Amino acid sequence: MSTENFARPEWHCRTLRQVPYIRRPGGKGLGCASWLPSGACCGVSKFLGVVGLCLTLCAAGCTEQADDLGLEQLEIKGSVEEAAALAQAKDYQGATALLEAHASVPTPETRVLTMYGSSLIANRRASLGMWALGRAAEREDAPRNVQLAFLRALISGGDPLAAIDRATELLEAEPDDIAVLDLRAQAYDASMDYENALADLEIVGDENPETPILIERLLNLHIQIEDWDGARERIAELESLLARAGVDKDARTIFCATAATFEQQRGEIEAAEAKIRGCLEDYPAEANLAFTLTGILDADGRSEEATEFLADLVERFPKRQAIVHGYGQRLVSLGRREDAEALLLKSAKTATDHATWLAIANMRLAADDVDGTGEALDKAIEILLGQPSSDPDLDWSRMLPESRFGIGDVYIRAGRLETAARIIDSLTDEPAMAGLLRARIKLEQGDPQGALEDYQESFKTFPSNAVARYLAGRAAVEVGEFDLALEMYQDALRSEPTGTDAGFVLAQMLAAEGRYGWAMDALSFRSARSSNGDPLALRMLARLAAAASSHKYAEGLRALLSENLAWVGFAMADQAHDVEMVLGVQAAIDYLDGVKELEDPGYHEAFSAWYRLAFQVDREHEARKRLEGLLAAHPEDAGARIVEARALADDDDLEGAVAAYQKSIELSDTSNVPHYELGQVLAKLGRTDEAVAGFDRAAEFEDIDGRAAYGAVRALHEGGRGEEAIDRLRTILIDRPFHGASALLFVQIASEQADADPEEVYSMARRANRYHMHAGPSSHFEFGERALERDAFEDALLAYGAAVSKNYDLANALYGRARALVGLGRGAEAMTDLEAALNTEDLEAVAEATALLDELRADAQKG
Amino acid sequence: MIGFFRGVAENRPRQVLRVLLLCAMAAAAIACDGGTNADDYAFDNRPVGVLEDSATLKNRDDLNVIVILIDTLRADHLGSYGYERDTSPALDYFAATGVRFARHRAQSTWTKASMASLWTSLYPQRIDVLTHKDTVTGHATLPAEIFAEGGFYTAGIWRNGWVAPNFGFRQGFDIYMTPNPRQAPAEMRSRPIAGRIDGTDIDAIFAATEFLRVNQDRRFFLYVHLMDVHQYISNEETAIFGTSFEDAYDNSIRWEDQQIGEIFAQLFRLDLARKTVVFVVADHGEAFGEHGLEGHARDLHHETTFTPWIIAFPFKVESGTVFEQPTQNIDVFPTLLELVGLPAQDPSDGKSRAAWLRGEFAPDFPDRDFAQLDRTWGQASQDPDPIVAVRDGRYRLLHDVNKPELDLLYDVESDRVESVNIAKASPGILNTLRATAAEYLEQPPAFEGGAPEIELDEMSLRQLRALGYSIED
Repeated sequence: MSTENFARPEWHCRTLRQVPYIRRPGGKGLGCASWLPSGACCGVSKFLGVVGLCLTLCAAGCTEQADDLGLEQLEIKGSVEEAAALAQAKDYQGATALLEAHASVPTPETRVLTMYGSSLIANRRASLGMWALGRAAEREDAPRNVQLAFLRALISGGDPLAAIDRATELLEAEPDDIAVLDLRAQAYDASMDYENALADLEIVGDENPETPILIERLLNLHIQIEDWDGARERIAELESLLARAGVDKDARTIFCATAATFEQQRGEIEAAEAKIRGCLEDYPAEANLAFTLTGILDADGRSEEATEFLADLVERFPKRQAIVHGYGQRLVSLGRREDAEALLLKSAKTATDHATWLAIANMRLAADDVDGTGEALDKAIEILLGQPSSDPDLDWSRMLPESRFGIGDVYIRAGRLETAARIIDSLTDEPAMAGLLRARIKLEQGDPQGALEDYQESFKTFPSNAVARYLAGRAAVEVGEFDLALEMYQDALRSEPTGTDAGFVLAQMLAAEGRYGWAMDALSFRSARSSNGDPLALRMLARLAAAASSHKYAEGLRALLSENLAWVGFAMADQAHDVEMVLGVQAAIDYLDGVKELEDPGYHEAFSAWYRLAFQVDREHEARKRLEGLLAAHPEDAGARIVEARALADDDDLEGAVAAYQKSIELSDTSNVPHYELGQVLAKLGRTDEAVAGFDRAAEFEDIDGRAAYGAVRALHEGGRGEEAIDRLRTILIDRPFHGASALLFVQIASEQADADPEEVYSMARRANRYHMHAGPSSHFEFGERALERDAFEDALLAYGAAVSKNYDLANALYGRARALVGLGRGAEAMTDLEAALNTEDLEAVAEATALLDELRADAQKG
Repeated sequence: MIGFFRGVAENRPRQVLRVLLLCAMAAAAIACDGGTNADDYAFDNRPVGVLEDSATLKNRDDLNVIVILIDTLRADHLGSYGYERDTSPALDYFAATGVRFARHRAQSTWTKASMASLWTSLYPQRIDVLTHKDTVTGHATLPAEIFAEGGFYTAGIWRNGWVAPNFGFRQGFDIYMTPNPRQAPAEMRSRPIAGRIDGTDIDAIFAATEFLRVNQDRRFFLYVHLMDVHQYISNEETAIFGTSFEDAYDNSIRWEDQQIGEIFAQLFRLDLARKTVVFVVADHGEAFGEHGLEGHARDLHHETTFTPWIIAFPFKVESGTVFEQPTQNIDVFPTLLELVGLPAQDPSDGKSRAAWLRGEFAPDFPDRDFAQLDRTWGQASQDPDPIVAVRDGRYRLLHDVNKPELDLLYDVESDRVESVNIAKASPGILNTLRATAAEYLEQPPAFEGGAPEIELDEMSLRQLRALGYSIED
C-alpha cells in the first residue's frame, strides 16, 4: 500500500502564533488607501512586518483610553457645566463620568442627553451614545446638530438602517440638506447598499467639487458596484488633484501603488505595470511600489523577472530594510533559504534596528532550526533592549507578554532554560502563559506528569492554545492517561482545527479502538475548516468511512479528493481497493478500466492499482505491455518509475526495484512514497542501515500514520538490532499513541530481551489490546495471557472476550476466557466456554482444557 | 467579587446595591449547594405576589418587557435545572422567584432556523427558514411589530450574524443594533474557543444598561442576544470548573450569568424591576459527544434542543413555580403577548401558556412537538438533508428523511437524555411517528412564497465563518 505524498505540516511553527486581544502599541502604521478591498492593504503590511515572532514593547500608547463607563455611584459628583468644561478640554472620560448621574434621572434635559451622548461618542462609545442622542433627537427642542449627531451615532454605533430611515425623514422636510444626504450616503454604505450610497454621494460631491476625501469615497463605491469606468474617472480626478496640491511622498506612493493594483485586478496588466514603473522612476527605493510591481509581474507569470528586479533593487539600495526583508522572504518561498539567510545576515551587519534579526529568526523558525532561531533572537533582543538576553538583570517586562511567551517557547526548545526561566518569572501579569512555558520545560526534561499538571492549571484561564492542548495530550500519553489524552486532542482540535495534528491523532486513536463515528467526526471537523480542503484528512476520512462500511460516503469523499490533481491517483487507487474488498477483483478492475487517463502523469497510483489487479484476472501480458508503454511515453516521470519499481519488486527483482526507486527520487524528490517503498525493499535485501535511512527520509516528508517510523523499527528488528528498535518504538508510541502494532512489536521484542521491564511490557500489551484495530486481534491474546499471568482476571476476561466476539481463533479465545472466568470464581460460565472450545478442532491446549473442565465439574458436584 | 465595570487604571468604589447583589451571588456560590437563599437578595424590592397576579399585567400601562436570548445555552447546565455545578446563581434566583419551564425545547439547533421559529411562533417547516440564504418573510408579523403598535419603544441588541437585519429579523424594531466590538478588558483572560468574533457580551451589556438608563421613562421592549456561551468566554473569576471543553462551557455560563446579573442590577438601580417582565430563553443547546457529535447545528438530540425558559415578573413569587409539562420556543411569544395584553400573532403554531400562569392548567392535546434541521444548511450546492424530531407523548423520533434506516426512537419519559434507541424494538411506534413526521413535512409554508432568499455578501460570509460555521459561497 502506498503512502501519502504530503509536505511536512507547519503546525509546529505555530507555537508563537499571536493570540487575540494583543495590545497593539500606539503610533502610526503605514496608511492605506481605503478604497481598495482589504486584501490589497494586507499586501502592504506583509512586506513591512514579519510573520510569527513579534518583539513589541509596551509604549506609551499601549493601552487604550480607560474604558470606564461603569455602573458607578449614581450620586451627582459635579455640575453639567463642569462636565461641559471637561468635554471642551477633550476629557471625554471625565465628562461622561459627571454626566452619567444627570442622565440617569427619568427625564433628563435635552442638553444633558446631548452632552452625555456626544461625550460617549467622542470617547469612541457610539454604541452607547446613540441611545442618549436618540432621546435628545426626539425632543421638540432638539437642535439640528443633535439630529446629525444621532445619525452619526447610528451609523457608527451599529444600526445604519435606522440612520437611513431617519435621514430620509429629515430629507423629506429639507431635501437640500447636504449634511444629511452625506450621512445617509454613509449609512447606505455601512449597510452595503452601495448603489444608493453612490447616488447620494454624487449629489454631495457635486456640491463640494475637488474634495479628495469625497472623491476617494466615491471611488470606493464605484469599485463596490464594479463600475470600473466610473472608478477610473475618480482615479483620474484624484491624480490630478494630487499633482496640484502639496501632498507628501507617503500618500503619493500609496496612491500610486493602489492605483496600479486596481488596474492589475481589472486584468489591465500593461496599464498597471506602466503606472507603477512611472512612480518608481520618481521613488525608486519605495518598498510598497517595489512589491506592487513584483505582485504585478508574478500575476503575469513573470516571476523570474520579478526576482531579478528585486535582486537589482537590493544591490542599489542595500540599506532599505523593507526591500531586503521582502526579497529574503521571496527567496525562502523559492526554496533558496541559504541565499535568503546570507542576504539577511549581510544586511544585519549594517542594520541598526532589530527587524532584520527578527526576520532571520522567523525564517529559521519556519525551517525548524530552533537553535539558530535562538541565536537570531539573541541579537534582536540585544539591539532592542540594549542588553543580551542572557543578562540576568534584563527587564523582560518591557516586552509584551505575548512576545515573551513566543520567545520563551523558542528558548525552551533550544535548551536555553535559564533564560527561559527568567522570562517565566517576568510573566507575573500572565500566569497562564508562565504556566504553559513551565509545562513545556517539564516536557523537555522528561517530566510529563509535572507538565500535565501545569498545563491543566493554565488551561483554566488560557484554554484555547491549540499547541499547548496538543502537547498536554502527548504528556497524557506519556503517563498512560489515554482518555485524558483523547480529551486534550479533542480540545486542541476545537481550539484550532488545523493548528496541530490533533485531528489526525485523535481520529486514529478512536479508529484504533473501533470508534469510527467519532473518528470520522474529528477528521471532518478538521477538513471542513481547512482553507485548502486538507487532502490528507479527506483521504484518511474516506478510508475510515470505508472501514465503517459507509462506502457511499467514502466514494463521495474520494470524488471530492479527485478534484485535486495531486491526489486523483491516490483517490482512485483507494476506491479500487474498496471495490475489490466489497465486490471483488473483477469489479475493481472494471472500475479502473473506465479511467481514460490511467497512463497520464499524476495517475500513476491508479495505474499501479490496475497493474496489480490485472495479474489477478489473467491479464498479465496486457499489464506488462502497458507498463512498457507508460515508461516509454514518460521516461522522466517520477511516478512512472515508482510503478516500475513496484512491478520489479513483485517479480522479485529487488535490486532492479531499488534502482527504479532511486531513479524516481532523482527525478523528483518531493514525496515520501519512493523513500518508504525503497526502505521496504532494502529491508528485504537485508541492507538495514540503508532501509532505516529510507524510512527516516520518508518520515521527514510526512508520517501521520506512523507507517515510516514503524517500517524503520521493523527493519531494525529483522536486522537483529532489537535495542535500537525498542528505543524508537517508545518514541513512536508517544507521537502516535494509537499505533497498536508498535505496542505489540514492543512486547514481542522486549520478550526476547532478558532485562525488559515487565511493567513496561505489560503496559504495552495493554495498549496494543486497547488499540486492537491497529494491532490486530492477536493483541487480545497477547494481553490476555499476560493478564492471566499476573492474576488480572478482569482484564483477561475483557481481552479474551473481545477475541471471542470477533470470532478470532475462537477455540483458543474461549479457553483463555474460561481461565479468566475461573480466576473470577465464575466456574459455571467457564465450563460453558471450555465445552465449546473442546468441541472444536482448533484448540491447542486440549489436555489442559480437559483437565480444567474435569476439575470444575468435580467442584460443581461437591458444591 | 471582581466586577468588570471598572477602569483599567484604578479600582472604583462600587455602588451599594451592586455590591450587595454581587456579594449575594458570591455567597450563594460559596455555599456550594447550588441553592439560592432569598435572604441574600434582600435588596430585591419587587413586591411579593402569586403567580395568578400575572393576569393583571395586561392592565398595566407602565409595563416593560425584556427578552434575553442566550445563544447555545443548554438547560441542563443550569443550577435551577438540576445541574450539580453552580453555573448560574443569578438565573437560578430569578427562576426561584418566578417561573421555570422544566421541559422546554427549541425548534432547531441552528440559530437562524431556531430564531425564525421563536420570533414567528411557527415551526421551521412553516416559516421555511432552513438554509443560510433564507430570510424571514416580510409577510410574517414579528412580536416587535406588535409591541411597536402597542406603544412600546422597541430595541434589539444582537451579536450573532444569523439574526442580522438582512435575514428579516429587524422587523418592528425602532433600533436594531449590533454594538461596536471592543477589546476585552485586561482582566478577561479566557480566549474564545469555538470561533473568533470580535468583542464580548460586555459590549451588549453596556448597550443594554445604557438603553435602560435613557429609556426608563417610557414603555420599552428590549431584546438582547448574548453570545459569550457560544464563544466559551469566561474570565479569571468565572473560570472555576476545570479545563476540559465542557468545563470551559460551564465557565462561560457562569460568566454569562454574571452579565445577565448586570442587566438585572440596572433594573433594580433604576427601580425598573417592579415594572418589567423578563423572559430568558435560548436558541439551542450544545453537544459534548453524548451521541458522538460535538457542538450544535448537526443533529436534534436532547442535548442540543433542551433549552431554558425562565420568567421573572415585576413581582416575586415566593416559591418559584416549575411547569413540568413540555413547552417549546414557539410558545414563548404567544405567552408574552397575552401576558402583556397585546394581540397574538396570526398564524401561530405556538400556544400561549398565560393560562397556566393564571392557574388554569390544561394539558395539551395532542401532546406533541417538532424540531427540524437541514444538515446542509450552509452548503448551497448540496441537496437538502433534513432531519425532523417528533415528540408525541412519551416517544420522540429523530427521523432522517433521506436515510430512514438511521432513524432513532426514544422513550423520553424514562430516558430523557435519549441514550437507548428503541426503534427496532418498537416498530409500531416508529411507523406511527414516521407518519406524523411525514405529515409535518407536507405542510406548505405559512406565507405564500415561503422564505425569500438572499445572496450573502463577502463580509457577512466572513463574519459567519468566524463563528466557526462552514458555509459555502
